[in-house]
Amino acid sequence: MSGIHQFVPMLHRFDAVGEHTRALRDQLAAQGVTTRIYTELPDPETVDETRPYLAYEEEAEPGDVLVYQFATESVMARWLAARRECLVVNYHSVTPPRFFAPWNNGIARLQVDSLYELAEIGPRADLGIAVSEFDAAELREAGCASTVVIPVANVATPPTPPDPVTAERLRRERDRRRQEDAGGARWLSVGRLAPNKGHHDTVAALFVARMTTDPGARLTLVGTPSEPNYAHALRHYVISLGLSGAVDFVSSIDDAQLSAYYGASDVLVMLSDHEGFGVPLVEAMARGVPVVAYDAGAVSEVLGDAGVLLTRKHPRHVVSALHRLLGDPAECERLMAKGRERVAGMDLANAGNRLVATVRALADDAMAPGGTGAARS
Amino acid sequence: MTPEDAIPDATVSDDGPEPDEVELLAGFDRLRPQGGLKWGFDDAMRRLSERGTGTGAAGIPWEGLPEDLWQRGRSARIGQRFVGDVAGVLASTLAADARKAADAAMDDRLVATWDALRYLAARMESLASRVDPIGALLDEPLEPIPEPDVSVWSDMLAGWFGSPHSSGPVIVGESGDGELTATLRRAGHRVCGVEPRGWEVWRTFGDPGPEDCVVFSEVAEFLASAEDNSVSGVVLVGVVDRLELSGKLGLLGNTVRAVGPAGTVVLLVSDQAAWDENLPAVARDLAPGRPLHPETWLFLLRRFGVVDLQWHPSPDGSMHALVGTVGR
Repeated sequence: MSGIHQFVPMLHRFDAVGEHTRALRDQLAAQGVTTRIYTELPDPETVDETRPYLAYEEEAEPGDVLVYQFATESVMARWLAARRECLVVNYHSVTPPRFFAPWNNGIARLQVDSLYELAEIGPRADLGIAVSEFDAAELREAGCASTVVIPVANVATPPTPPDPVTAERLRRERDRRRQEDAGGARWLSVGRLAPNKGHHDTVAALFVARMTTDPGARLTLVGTPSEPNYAHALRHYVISLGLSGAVDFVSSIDDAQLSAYYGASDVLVMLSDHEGFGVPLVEAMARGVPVVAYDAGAVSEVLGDAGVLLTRKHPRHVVSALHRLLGDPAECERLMAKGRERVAGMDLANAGNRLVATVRALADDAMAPGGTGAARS
Repeated sequence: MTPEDAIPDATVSDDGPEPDEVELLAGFDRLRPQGGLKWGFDDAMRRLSERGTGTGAAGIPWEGLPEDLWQRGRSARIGQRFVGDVAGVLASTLAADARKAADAAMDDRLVATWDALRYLAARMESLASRVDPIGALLDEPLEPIPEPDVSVWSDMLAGWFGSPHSSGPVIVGESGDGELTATLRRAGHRVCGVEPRGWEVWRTFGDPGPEDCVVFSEVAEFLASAEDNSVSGVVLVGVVDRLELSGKLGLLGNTVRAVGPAGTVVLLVSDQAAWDENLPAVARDLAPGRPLHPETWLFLLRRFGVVDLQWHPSPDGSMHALVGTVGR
């Protein structure tokens, strides 16, 4: 019996691509579609949910649709490109290698390989699904003739309620700082500690803010240290700027705890150099946190006019924008209202259904007389 | 000095980055590992590991003799032509063949070689993780270490450097609040301060003094990457007390190399008793290094080839000055 099967290099829990893959599988299965997840390498935590990709050669059925979750380099890309089944590339953006080159040559090489693989699998794909128009343009540039944009399916809408314990702890900390007369603005940055995320620019801006407009400003960085050299340098930078007591590094938290951090923050600062979508933008808008973001990748597409979009991000420019915004409560309120409207307009709650419907339509087409699946199988 | 103490006038701008912002961001870029020893080792290991899967290491094919070789006729230059056209190709081919032969001969031993390299890599990781045990242990730097008071030597400093050189700047590390750089600048020297504390860098930029050069970097790393004979002199203060012994020795070696013959080296070092007395117990116990006795410094400087050494004892018992010239 034909099915819609997904291929992902590794299936991780609490990872954006991993959760996306699992959510899509669950929705397909709920609709009675035969679906399996194949991986290049097993993750011990999810090994029971996956099968080795080479096993598919024995399990292939005429009319199958294969969905490749493309986020990084994998031998599966070329293997899939050489197969005859109807192929969908669900593209999750490849960070350009130039960001990693000075920090981790190994990752940079993998990113280069990823781009080569994209150029091989792109023209072969019957459909490319991107989370943003920015990513769709990359897919088209790689030779993918047919693309659709469906925003990420795994953003919690409405937002998960804040974890009460974390929220209470953050509230007490704020009260204590107010008593110490050091209650400045609370900045939040969310994203992996990786070079393209521009966290160092945020730290530099915080330093300048504390030296000029807001001596009590603080920053919470929520993100997994995914590139060790960069993460280590970031901590060193914080110390050398005398910001040890003003910057908190937070990682390994769940959605409810993350909600608490959003709730305890005055502004989301996002100075990333490359974003295929920008989930934190949506999270902040949905939770009524104003956003100041650098205009890179899909940021302007996602944020629209519901936040402050920066065309430059040197420290004084960022500080100036934050100072103006946070000093204008009416403007903050206006942007927060706009943000909520914008997120509602994205209809993210139905993104998963749209994704499934799109892939199922392709599968139906493949099985129809003269369809791609019938012709190739 | 805390960062808050150094707050200059609030100035925000929509223009491009100012020089202080550029230096602030450059300070982060200098933390990139690219080009370092560990980076090079890791990269070499990776290239070795990937060998055979990539496109490298292909042998050079025999291209044969140039077809027109014998048609060129006999001339006085035939020898040169032979070397260029034949021997060149032959040498390349032989080199490629030799490499193949060596690889083939190594086949049996290759596994052991790989194992040795991998153990070396693991050893390197282990050593690297021990470089900064205090930093790994603590979330914050040892800020209680007091700022050295260099004012007692400020007036004499310019005299030790004599007339300004045209060969390169005088490096002051750590330049702190800029007192020593200002003194040398007034005496006509080109000066560059090196300072690892961002708030001091920021404050220096905030003060009037457009000719100031301040680099946001660790002094040891700055001098390690300085070219030979590229500076006319070096003043070291603060960092010489804090570094652990091997760091002190590395710093001295790079200082002498960067200064070159006839250049001046000045060390302003804390008095051991004063250091012990003034430092909080936690900082005293956990600081990676402690001041050396001036006699020890003289011994080390001599070993590194510094001559005409003078020890100027501290007038107030806090900080000694050691002055010398790099030998020719």
